[in-house]
Amino acid sequence: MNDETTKIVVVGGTIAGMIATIAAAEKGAHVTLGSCVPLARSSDTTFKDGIAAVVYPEAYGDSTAQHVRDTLAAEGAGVDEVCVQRMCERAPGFIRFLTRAGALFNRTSEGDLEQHSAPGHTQPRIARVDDATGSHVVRILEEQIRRFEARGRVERKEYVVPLSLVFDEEDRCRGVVIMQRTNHACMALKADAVILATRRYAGLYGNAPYTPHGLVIDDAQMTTQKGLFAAGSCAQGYYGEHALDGNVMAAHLVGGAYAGESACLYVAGLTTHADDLGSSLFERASDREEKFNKEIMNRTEGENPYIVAADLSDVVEKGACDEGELNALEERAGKTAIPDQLSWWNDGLIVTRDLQNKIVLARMVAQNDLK
Amino acid sequence: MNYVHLKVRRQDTPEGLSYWEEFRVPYEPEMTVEHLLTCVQRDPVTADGLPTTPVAWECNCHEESCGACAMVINGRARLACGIVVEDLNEPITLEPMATFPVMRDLVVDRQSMSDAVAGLDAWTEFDGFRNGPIPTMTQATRDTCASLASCIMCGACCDACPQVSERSPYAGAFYIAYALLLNARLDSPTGRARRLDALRGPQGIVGCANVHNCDIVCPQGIPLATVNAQAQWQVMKHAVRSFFFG
Repeated sequence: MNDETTKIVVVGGTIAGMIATIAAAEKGAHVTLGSCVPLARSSDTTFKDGIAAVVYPEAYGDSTAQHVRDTLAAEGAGVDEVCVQRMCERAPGFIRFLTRAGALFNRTSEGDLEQHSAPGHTQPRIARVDDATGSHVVRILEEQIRRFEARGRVERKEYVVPLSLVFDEEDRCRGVVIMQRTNHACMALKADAVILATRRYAGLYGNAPYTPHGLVIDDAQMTTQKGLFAAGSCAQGYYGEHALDGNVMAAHLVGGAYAGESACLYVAGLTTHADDLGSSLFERASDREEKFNKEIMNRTEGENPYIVAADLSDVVEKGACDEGELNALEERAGKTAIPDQLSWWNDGLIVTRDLQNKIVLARMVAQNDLK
Repeated sequence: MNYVHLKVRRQDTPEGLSYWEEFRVPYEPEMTVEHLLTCVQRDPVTADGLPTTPVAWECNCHEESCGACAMVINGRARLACGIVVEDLNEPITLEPMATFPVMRDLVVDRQSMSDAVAGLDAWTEFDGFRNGPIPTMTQATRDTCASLASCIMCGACCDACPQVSERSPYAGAFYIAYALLLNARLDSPTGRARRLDALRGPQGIVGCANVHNCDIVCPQGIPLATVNAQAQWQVMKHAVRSFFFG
């Protein structure tokens, strides 16, 4: 098949989403990257602890194997050895890439990268940009996205919220329905493969099993749902609850790019493409979401969804929430009415729709805590 | 109970007229402006007790690193998540940044900033993104670049500048800072000349009148007055060089 026809949709303008986009575009795919905020304003800008990678093994007597051992010792049960191995092996390549692309990692007096120490890492192996590594990495990745945009390889859609996934008759993921934050118009993006790299994955998951730490993925970073890949905080296995400094960003970079490449390989093996499927499947999916939006907007009597959302986050933050509390919140979430009838830049609609996702996630966290 | 007196300039749609609305928000110690707006979302009632709609604004990171929540607070462009009520005189007035088209309430369209930056070819070219060694860079160069690169594209410099308006093509101080960053960071001679030409163009330094408001309002503390002076010097050298050597 011709690479030109490979259509990939990445959901989430996160660090993982952006590197997945870059990796897939490098492989020749056409990638649509959807983000609910402008890429430069991703909340991944808040990553502060740097990127863990063994870039100078000779200098400190460090090795990839040692990075793997440190990670497994500290993060233990929550992680998958294959993912950790991949992260530690490939992370140095991303430090090289980011540096060449202009990332301003701290330098030694000789002009090499400064390697910072952190608890749990037996050797200094963290690259940082002062206390703003996240901001700088986001900027560099956005620049590279811009490079592919200028070549027509990537299309960015900002201020769009992902609502649901589209599956074909063979249960392969074929696209995603997005909503404009401005006028709430819904549209289905067709894709041969979809990569999820968003925190909003809970409401999107289809039938793929997932945990509070992300979707369950296979060795190609595909979820149990064919054609649906996961990266960043959507993908389980790369880091545990108490990740070592620098491991999270390393995992998002390595896992994101790997998801992008794996998705291209998967599409190369497909016999039918999203474009062959006709448009009715996609129209139906976006009509369904439009209808749901209208139903929410038409509710005039009910509780303010912002209050329910705040109560829900209080319950989740407090930890160890019980089934009864969540049931009560779920009932309230179903009976909200936005105190704003205007279908223009009305975040109340997004908050209302997110409530369901957040309750699903909160249940997962609660069940996990019980174990 | 103590209340914070809040005045918000509102506008429902890009074409709509703006109007003021006042709120009394229950005071909590060290609450930020963002926190005030969150309270209005949960209880959208004006100071006169009339029901209204929640105020729209943008916020993503809540810790001054994404630039989304820039707005005019008591007459000056700032980040709503970075300032607490104790540091502000009441009534606290919130307005959208006037330089940009209003989408709704305090949400403005800053696409013009991204478009200006895209015109600078703001990226590094690669043959393949995994290959190649780590280039060395001196600490001094890194530190200069890191200061320029701390820009979060919030648009405060554009709002504060009397020269940035729809009557002028001048992009604003962020544009000059980004061009200098790219030239300091990348060693591509062709790109460098093109960016200096861009800085010499109508979007660039000719628009700057050395008012230096940008320097005062920048939430990241980038020394934009110095940056603009450096840009003027670099552009002049570039102009003289290209006059003699083509």
